[in-house]
Formats: sequence, structure tokens, C-alpha cells
Amino acid sequence: MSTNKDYKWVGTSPIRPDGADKVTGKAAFGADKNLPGMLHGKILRSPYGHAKIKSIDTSAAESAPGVLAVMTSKDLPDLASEMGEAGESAVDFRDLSQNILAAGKVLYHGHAVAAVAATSPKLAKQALKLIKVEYEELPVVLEIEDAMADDAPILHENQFTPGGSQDKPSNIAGKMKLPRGDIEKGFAEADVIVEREFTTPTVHQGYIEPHAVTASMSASGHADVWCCTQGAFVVRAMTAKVLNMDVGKVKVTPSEIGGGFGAKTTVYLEPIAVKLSEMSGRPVKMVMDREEVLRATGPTSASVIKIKLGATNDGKLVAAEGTLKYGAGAYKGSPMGPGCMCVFASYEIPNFVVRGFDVVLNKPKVAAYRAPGAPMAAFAMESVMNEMAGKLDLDPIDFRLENAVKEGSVAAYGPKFPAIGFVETLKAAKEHPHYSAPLGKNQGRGVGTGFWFNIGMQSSATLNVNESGSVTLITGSADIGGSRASMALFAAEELGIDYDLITPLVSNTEEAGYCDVTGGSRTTFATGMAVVKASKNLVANMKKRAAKTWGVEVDEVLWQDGQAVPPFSSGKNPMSMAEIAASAAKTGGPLTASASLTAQGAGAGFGVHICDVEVDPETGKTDVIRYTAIQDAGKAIHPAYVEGQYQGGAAQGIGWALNEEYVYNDKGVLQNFGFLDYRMPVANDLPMIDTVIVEVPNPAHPYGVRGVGETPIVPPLAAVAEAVNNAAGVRITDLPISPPRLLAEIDAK
Amino acid sequence: MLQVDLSFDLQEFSSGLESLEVEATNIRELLAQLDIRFPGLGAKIEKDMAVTINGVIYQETLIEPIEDGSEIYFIPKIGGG
Repeated sequence: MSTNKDYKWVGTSPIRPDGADKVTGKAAFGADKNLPGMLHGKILRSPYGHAKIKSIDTSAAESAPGVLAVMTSKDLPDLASEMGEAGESAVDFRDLSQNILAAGKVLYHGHAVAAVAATSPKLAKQALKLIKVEYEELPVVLEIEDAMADDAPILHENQFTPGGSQDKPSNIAGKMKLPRGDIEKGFAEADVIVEREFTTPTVHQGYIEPHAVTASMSASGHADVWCCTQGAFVVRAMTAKVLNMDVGKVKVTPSEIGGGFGAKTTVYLEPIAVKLSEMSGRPVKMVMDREEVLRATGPTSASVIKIKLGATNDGKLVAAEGTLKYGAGAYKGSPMGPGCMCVFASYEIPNFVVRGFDVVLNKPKVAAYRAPGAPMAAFAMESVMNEMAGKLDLDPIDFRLENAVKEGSVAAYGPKFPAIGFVETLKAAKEHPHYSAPLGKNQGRGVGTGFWFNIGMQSSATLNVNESGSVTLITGSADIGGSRASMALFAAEELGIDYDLITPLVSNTEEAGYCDVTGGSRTTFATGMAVVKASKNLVANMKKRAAKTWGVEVDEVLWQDGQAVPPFSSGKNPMSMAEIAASAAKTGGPLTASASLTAQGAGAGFGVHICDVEVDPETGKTDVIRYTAIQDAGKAIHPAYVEGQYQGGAAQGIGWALNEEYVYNDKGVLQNFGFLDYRMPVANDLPMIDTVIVEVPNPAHPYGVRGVGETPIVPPLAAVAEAVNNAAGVRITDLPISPPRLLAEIDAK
Repeated sequence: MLQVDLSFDLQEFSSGLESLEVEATNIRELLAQLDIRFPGLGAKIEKDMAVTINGVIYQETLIEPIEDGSEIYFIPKIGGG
């Protein structure tokens, strides 16, 4: 780990401001909000994977004891298909609405069909049983290539493949092509060619806290919404759109959040809770259980990815071909686009073509998950890179160094890279003691690398100086990884005061300036930029106040260590922030400063992971015995939380590689809908994950920050698979590498 | 003069033209010029794409200045998790 000694606060790791409340149980999460007279909402969900809804009779439920409101999609406005910006990426609001409550068809098992609000959860559940839905069952399609077949069951009769037949509907909702050079010529120049196909299953983000909301609609038509989300403003936008309300009539207050990882950037319950509140005239609380979370919220895509790679004997990549198919779930919008842009992004390859397909299936609509689309692409490409290194008898890191992108390289997705740290990260991995440590029997080591763009988007920050000189710092960026601490560190550094004098808050949509979602690894980068800008504005204001007090020109006043310093000739003493704040009434009124911006110039992140495993040849069980995550952070503002991001991403990627998968029966019914059967790694499954923070500053950020939250989940899939290959002598191309699958491969060897 | 390269998926607007030179001093002018030459292209980029200027990605901006001689490329808008 490195720290810059020029900073007093940036680069240190103080205790998080929300830490004590979280460890003592006082922090309020989504389900902790209660209001007088509150009702409890429950959802009726489809028992079929694919079916027409012929009729819904809610009359018996409406007259059931304790029931005050029952709704179906008929109670929502019939929205036209319209793509709109709502958070991190575009969304079709009609799809969003019909995913919230099915209209005409159910498209996956667990799809919401109707909702009830009653005086207790038990009465609401009982009323659900009284709703009569007549279905016409339809065949389901669960596998990507089955859904792409000409005779596949069609999910949407009005969906046609772009550039394809406009007469015959299709499950292929989108296509993409990225070509460069001449791949025939490139492969002709290759001495060695490796070609393989890989599959990854549908996996869930696995956040601990289920979705929860409490909503109250006033008589004047103003909705108050409390929920756990990565973006209060996106909840506001989506809820208003689905209910055809003005955004100014919806106030969203974010709770503390028990994990999101991208998945809490959309809405499921919020519009329903608001509508039920409007219908009943009472506040309505809705909380999903784990089964609902797994059956009906967005996991990330399954994928089928084929890579063909050509290299010369001296280790130069000369050609590549990639075909990437991503399952979107019930509605269009898989991370096919970023997957295609990422798959060859780490390497200089003169000739390539990438083709991508976005395919709908009878599964829940996918949601974002850390670096959406990139882990699957990297699993395929990095596995082929490892195999190619073996065939060329090259060290896998040396082979990557030979081909790594650097400043000035033309990225596979088009533009030239500005300053990036892939080479530095690879070198740090090669020099790490882990890379050369001896291995024992049945043990193997693998390397994988990962790339993610990171993003900027819109952020705001406000600083209010209290009479004592302490500061309240307000943003609208949900804190999912310790960002309040990072925001306070930026402000402390800029203002020159102690971290403990700053109280960072995440406020609601009526009190905070607009902030896009906390996602895309953007908050420390973009909201941090807004905090820095607001702090500079505040310092400028305080210098003016001091100048007025002393009767000197503002240009003569310096700001040092949290004090305004007068010119020596004035004979005055410096004024602290507390003194300036105490006299604020006499110098122009309260001291406050804000900044809003659209942050540009997000710096790309690169990571390299080293994984050691031990395979039990008798059972096929794989244990990760040592793991090191190395990544370029640009600048680590709070190094302990940067390390936490590296470790968390690695843990999720290891789970994806070894155990996690949605298991469906042939009717499209999820079989493993709890954490006992959906097997995520827990603490005793993993070793301590070591980290190395590389710092190649991003020139577009005042402190050099890149995002760090997403890149760490990209390398593990290939790193684990290669370690298993080296331990057991079998190359697994279909995830997860579960004991039965690995044992079968070992036995077949 | 700016060097503008069009990705494969945008070349349907330009009848297959891969690159062109455009005179513009900011992103708004750039997109307007592209729309004049290839109707619909500027609007498509503004709605669905991010603009890269000498490799730096700009999302959701029309006012970003562009220096003469810059290299321009368009990529799909990027989200995240």
C-alpha cells in the first residue's frame, strides 16, 4: 500500500462515521421504517415461468378482513415504450412498469401479478390466496442459445432483432459489432491459435438486506418514500414515471443499505407501495423475503462466450474473434454492450472482431452487478490468455506485459487510453511474493486480469458551517462502501480541519442536490469532485469574510491549516474557522457552499489477481488457499475501504467461479431460492485476501482518483479456473466449478 | 479540424464511411455538423452514446470544448453496478 505524505487526511483510514451505529444495531435500514396506521403490502407472484394472464378476479381479496387495497397492472398507467435515462443506463419505462406488475403475460416464475395492503402481514398474505388468476401456460425458454433458435418460444410479440427480419418477432433484442483490421490476415500470421467456448450461469448479487420500502401518499398527492437504494433520485424518477407523477411530488429518503452491488439501482416495490398508499389512504410498508429476492429481482446475466485468439511464437497477439451472448432475463437490456467493449480492452490486438447478442429469456430481468458484463467476458478471454501462455511456454504475466495496453494504446472499443496503470499493476503482481511461493500436492496457481471503465455522471455537495466551526456535509449519494468517510476526508483536506469536525450525511431528494446513483464506481470520483469544489468555494467565502473583518484585500488573505492568515503588514492574528463562523452574522450571514457538476474523465481501472487453490481429487472440492488482489486505484482516499472493495469483489468472484448458479427445473421454477442452496462463500470458505494498491493517478481528478468498486470482480473467474487447471489438470470452461462438475472432469481424464 | 472515427454500428448512418473530418469547437457543434452530413447521426449519438475526446470519455455533456486536431470516437454510454 502506498500513501502520499503530502496530504494530511487523504490517504488515511479513519473509522467510518456510521460505524458505531452499525455495530450497535442503531443504524436504520430499509425495513426499520414504521409509521402510525401503517399497512403491510404483499405481492402475488406467478406460479408459471411463462403464461398468458386470461383474467384476474380480486373481488374476494378486496372484501377480506383487514384488507384496504388490492391492485394489479390495471391500476398503473399504460406507458408507451420509451427509452429514458434513469440512473446508470437507459431503461424502457414500459418494460419497467410491466416488470413491476405483469400486464397480459407473466414472463418468469415469481413475476409480480397483484398486490394487497392489509393491516398485518398475515392478513395480507391470506388475502393473496383469495385472488383468482386464470393462466394459459406457455412453453419456457431458459437457455440463451435455445432462445436464439428460429423455433424458440417468443417472449414479446412486438420485439424484433435490430437489422433482422421485421416480420418475425425474436428473442434477440439487440446486437453489436466491434471490428478492427483484417482478422483473416491476422489469423494467417498466427503461429498458435486457441479457440474455446465458455458458459457462465445466472448469478445473484447476494446482498444481505432484502428490498424494503415504506410509502405514504398525502391527501395533496405528495408521496413520501423511504427505502434501501443505491440512488434516491433514480427511485424518485422511476416511481414518478411509472405512476405518471411529477418528480417534484415524490420525495425519496434513502435508508442505510445492506449491500446492493448494482442491483439496487432500479425499482420493484416502490411504485406499488405508493399506489397502495394512495388507494388505502394509509402508509404502506413492503419487505421482500429472501425467496422473493432470488426469484424476482434482477440477478446478472448468464452468458455463452466464444473466443478465438491468435499469437506469434514470440508472444505477440495478432488476431482475436469474440462472440458474446448474454441473457437479459424477461426484458431487453443485458450488459452485452460493456461486455463487448471490455473483452479485448486490456490488450493491443491489431485485428479483431467482437459480436454481441442481447437475448431475452424466461428468467427475472437482469440488474446491474459490479462491472456488468465484464466478469464473464474476462473469464473467457483471460482463460484463453492463460492457455495461450502455456502453449507458448511463456510466463502468464510476461505474456500479458508483452501485449498490455498503456497510455496512447487504442482501446478495443475505440478511443486512445489516457494515463492508465495496467503495466504497473502487472509488474506489481509479478514482484509479489505470492507469485513465486512454492505450491504443494494437488495445489495450483492461476492469474487473471480485469478492466473496467468507471464513470462520472452528476453529483452535488453542500457544506454548512456550524457556529462552532464544525461542518455538516450533505450529499445525495447513497453510501454503499464507506463513501461518507471519503467525502469527509476530501473536505478535511481542502478545509484544513480535523476529519472529526465534519459530519457527512446522505440526505433525501428534497434536501440534497441531485446525485446520480451510487454505481459505476463513481461516488468517490464524482461526488468527491463535488465535495472538493464546494470546499474550495467555502474557503473562498471564508477568506472574503476574514478580509472584511480585517479591512484588507481578499487577495492578501491566505488559507492555511484551517485558518485565514492575514498579510503580515496588517498586524492581525489568523482567524480559525470557528472564529470566522462565530462572526458570520456580522460579515454576510451563514457560511454555506455548494457545488454541482457532471464529472468527466473517469479513469479506467485495471486489476490483476493471483489465486492458489487445493483440489481434493476424491471429492472435486476446491479450496482457495491463498489469494492476492492487485489494482490501480489512481489514488486511495481511504485505503482501508479500497482494500475492502478489492476483497469484496474477489470474494464475490470466487463464489461465481466455484459455486453460485441459479438452478431451474424445466418449467422455469428456481430450485435454490435461499442461501442454504444458493451457495455463496462465507468467511470460513476463504483465506485472508491480500491486497496491493497501485497508484497511477487519474489526471482528470484533483486527487487522481479512479473508481475501485467494480474492477475487483472481473479477474477472479479466470484466476480461479486457471488455478484449478494447474492443480487438477482439467480445464473447466463452464462455471461454476462445483465439486460434482470438477469430479466428473477429473474422473474422465 | 477534428478527426472523427465512427464505430461499425454507427456506419449505417454514414453509408459505411469509417472516418471523416469535422470542424467544431465543442460537442454540441460536433453533433450538429454530423447531423447535417448524416441526418439522424448526431441525434443518435446524443441519445445513446458517450463522446471520447483524445481518449477521455465524456457522458452527458454538450458544452465540453474540443481543441483543434482532437481525435473523436463514440462509444455506448457506460453504466455500472
